[in-house]
Amino acid sequence: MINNFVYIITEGVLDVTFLVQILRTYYGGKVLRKRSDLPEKAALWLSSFKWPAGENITRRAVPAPAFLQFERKNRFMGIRNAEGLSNIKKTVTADMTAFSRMQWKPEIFAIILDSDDIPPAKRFTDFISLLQEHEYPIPSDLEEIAESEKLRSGIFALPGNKQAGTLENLLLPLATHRFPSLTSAATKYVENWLETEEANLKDFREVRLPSGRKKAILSSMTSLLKPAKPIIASLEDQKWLPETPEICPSMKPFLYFLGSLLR
Amino acid sequence: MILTDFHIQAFRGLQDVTLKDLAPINVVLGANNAGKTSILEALALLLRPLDPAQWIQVARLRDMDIFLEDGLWSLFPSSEPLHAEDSPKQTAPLEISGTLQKEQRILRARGLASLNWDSEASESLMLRIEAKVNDLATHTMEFRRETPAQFGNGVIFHKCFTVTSATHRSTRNLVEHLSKVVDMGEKKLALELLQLFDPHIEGLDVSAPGGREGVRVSHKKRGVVDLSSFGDGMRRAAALALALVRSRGGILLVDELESGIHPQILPKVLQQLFLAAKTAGTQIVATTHSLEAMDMVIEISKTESSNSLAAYYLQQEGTPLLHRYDLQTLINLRDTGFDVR
Repeated sequence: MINNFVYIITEGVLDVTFLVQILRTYYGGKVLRKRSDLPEKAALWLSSFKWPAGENITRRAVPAPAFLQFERKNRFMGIRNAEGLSNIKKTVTADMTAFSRMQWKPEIFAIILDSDDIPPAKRFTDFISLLQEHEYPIPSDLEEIAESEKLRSGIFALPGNKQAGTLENLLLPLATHRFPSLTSAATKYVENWLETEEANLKDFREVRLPSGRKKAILSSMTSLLKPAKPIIASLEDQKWLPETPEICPSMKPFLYFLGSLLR
Repeated sequence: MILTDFHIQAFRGLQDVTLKDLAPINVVLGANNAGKTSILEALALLLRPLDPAQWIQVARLRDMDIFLEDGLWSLFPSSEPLHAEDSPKQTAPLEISGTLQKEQRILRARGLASLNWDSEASESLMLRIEAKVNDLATHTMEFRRETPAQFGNGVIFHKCFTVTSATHRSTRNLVEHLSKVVDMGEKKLALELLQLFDPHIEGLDVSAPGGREGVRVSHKKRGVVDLSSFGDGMRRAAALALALVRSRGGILLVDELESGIHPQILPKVLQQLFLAAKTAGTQIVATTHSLEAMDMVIEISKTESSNSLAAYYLQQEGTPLLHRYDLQTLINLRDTGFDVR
């Protein structure tokens, strides 16, 4: 029933892409692209879902998990996109239902989400029940890994170090390192705009949110790096991650968490 | 609501299966051969454990032409076919229990088959079922082709009717149901359901010209015609409606909820059926293979309270795990695209 499988739930497709890049670059993860390459239970998990789901036919994205293989430990991983913070609990419930029907349970379970401007203690308590409900060991705090005889689990709120923020707090330093002049130009562009009177209009309310400025800078950059494509296209193709992660100290807590999870 | 909990210790191929916290509407899900129909059959026996007619009906639910003794024999947890020609044979015991109107009921029974049960019997095979409910004395029902078995006393017989995918194909079944419904003065629901299929239907009656019984439908355009001249869906709806009326205040068991009914009309039929069941205080336990039907059941139940619906998933292989899902869990699971079947 227990196996060498890692199940990670994230908030959105950008988190999945970023995580995949990290796992490929620093942990030897190999992306599995064909259903036939998946271990039997993972393929069955995938078959447990029919998309598009429900009444809403405008929901075009298929939130199928991304799968990786780690040859060193003969380990597989599925990273699931919950399509939003509010869907994390029900997506985990659905996945755990699918696992349970297969009489199977991933050995490692991690929840990775944005801190946003929620106090870290609240983020932790909000999601700890998910680990409890599905009988995984309970960590003492955010970013800690809990371990029982057969299971391992943890919750990480990005950017880490129990700080408020989002994934963009990690992406921006990476962008600065990889594309310094572009980051500088994009920053100036966004900040100059935010100083205009027009920026206070209703149309620009999202850029005025706590993480809006960082998101706008990154989107401005990728509009040049990959015109008319989302950030994930640039993240996947243009090697944002440095070979030595020490160059970006803000990544340290996240990498430490992933390293402990996969050890 | 009659039934709140139900446990099969041993029945046909099922062992140690529990349905907890039943709702007014219950759907049993699972792959082929998972045992969904067996759950309905076991339930039917628990509701009327000392009623020989119920044993006979259950024994023939899957195959109306099966020899009665073979059908009864197969209800017991034994894979061996019945061969009592050389020596008497005995089944392994079956055990089914549940909470019915807050009272715990346990049915234990075993079957004994013999060619020469008593000296006066003919050479034909006879099956004796010894059934014991709770601490009451064991009641023996002897099943021989021509001899009706005896009712048992001291146990409440709850109203219970089973609709299978074949019920609507038997004129005899439909005539019997409709006759009883007419006697009860309650054929309105049957008419309303049929009018969902065809608004030109005006009446429904039993007719027996020259002893040939049939169900007659009064139709605005076609005149008076036999129900069998209509399509499968309409006959199925008639069977559902008639069984629902007869099981008023009891339990309606429906095998393959979607059977015979086009998906376009199924939501209306189910909506009407559930509403009528609610009004009549009838609990429904149904099985389905169809994700479409399950989605409709969920959608209809959304306007009801959170404990109005329960679904049970029966594992196909390995241990007989039965997962229970309440309405909100079902909504959430389907919202993620999870195939609940």
